[in-house]
Amino acid sequence: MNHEIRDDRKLAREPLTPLKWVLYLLLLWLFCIIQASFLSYVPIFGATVELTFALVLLLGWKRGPVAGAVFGMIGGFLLDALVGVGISVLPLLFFACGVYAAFTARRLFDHPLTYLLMTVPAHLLLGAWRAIEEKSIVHLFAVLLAGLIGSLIVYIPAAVRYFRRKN
Amino acid sequence: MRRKKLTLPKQLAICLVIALLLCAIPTALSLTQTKDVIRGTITTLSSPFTRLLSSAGKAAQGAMASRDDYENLKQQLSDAQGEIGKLKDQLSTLEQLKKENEQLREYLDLKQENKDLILTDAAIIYNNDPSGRTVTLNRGSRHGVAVGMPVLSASGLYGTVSEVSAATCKVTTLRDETVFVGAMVVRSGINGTLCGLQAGNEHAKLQYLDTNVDYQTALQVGDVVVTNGFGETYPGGIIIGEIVEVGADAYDRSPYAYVRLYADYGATDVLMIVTGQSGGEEVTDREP
Repeated sequence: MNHEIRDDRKLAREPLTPLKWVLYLLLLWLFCIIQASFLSYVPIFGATVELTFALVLLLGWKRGPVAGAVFGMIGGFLLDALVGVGISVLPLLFFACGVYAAFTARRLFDHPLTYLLMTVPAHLLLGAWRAIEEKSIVHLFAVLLAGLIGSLIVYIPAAVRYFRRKN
Repeated sequence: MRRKKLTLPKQLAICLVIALLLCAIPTALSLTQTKDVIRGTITTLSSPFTRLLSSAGKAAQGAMASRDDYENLKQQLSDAQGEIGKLKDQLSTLEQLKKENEQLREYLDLKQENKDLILTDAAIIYNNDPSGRTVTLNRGSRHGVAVGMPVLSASGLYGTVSEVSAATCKVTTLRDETVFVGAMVVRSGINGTLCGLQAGNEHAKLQYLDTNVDYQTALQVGDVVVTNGFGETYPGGIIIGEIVEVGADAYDRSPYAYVRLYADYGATDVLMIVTGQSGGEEVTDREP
């Protein structure tokens, strides 16, 4: 188990290559477009699956606090731009959650379940903001549910890699 | 000169400042309704993909709505089928009640028409033979029924009580060939004896008619036949049926007529037993 934690720390220290930065940015942009267009038409209990947020959390979890912070604020900014909101809060919120995911990764084991456990408070924070926007407390739980689904979708490749490494 | 690398807290602090700016600038621009060039560029660059994916999203939404509509329609159809089933049951019950009501009304009319007769209602509980010669009713000696009492249906004379137990009685109908009833043609007043259905005949035979009568005029098709009340078994005036055929015997030329019985054998379950007459005279126990 310690070995896995060390691996994560090592991963966090490793600087991302410029190509990977670009690739992740493109992926983030694509996810923002998908979330702002397709996913907004197929809500789960009134909440959109937060695919961009899930990717920010995953990048923070896997790539460390700086990556989490940078991709968080860019993801939030892109999403706000595409959705077209008046008061912009998501860059700050996503930034905070990206950093939170990175620091949690240093304390939890690298396991799909611990990853999901880590996403719960972040989604509750995002859900609280969405609930204020929608003026409905039910929306908080809808965002949590939709967020967990989004996190699962985004985490599938990493989880597959994790179980392959285990075997 | 080697560049000094920033520490993590400093990197995060810079990111935080940028994040704050990314929140503050667009918000300020939006509140002051100033054109946001960066956001506009992002939206423009993304618009082809956004449009494409929006169309796909709308299609998915439409498919989901159609599925919901289909489920709703299915549920409505199921409910409607249930309602139809219930209504069918109600209709069946209503038809049964209507039939029963009509029967009871007929019997009420019969009772009012024969105010001098004391009638006891009874129901057929068993058809003793398929030809309808005898039936068993749910009334017996306990109810004041005795052998020889006439039995009426709503349409006319039905038969006679031939056997009695405590709770049931057996009725020999006019379809039995051994039954003989004193009868009279209402129009001409001519009397005779009506015999039950003979083998191979659908109608009862009225024969042994009064002598010294012009049969050509006294018996005509369509004449109504009633009991004449001459015997002790049947009170007079109970309707039996109507003449459908008039003829003369091949050997002794004595006249006869075939009478279609009005009693609806097989169609009714409710009958009336004449247990007495309101004049005080009770129909006595006697053989038919």
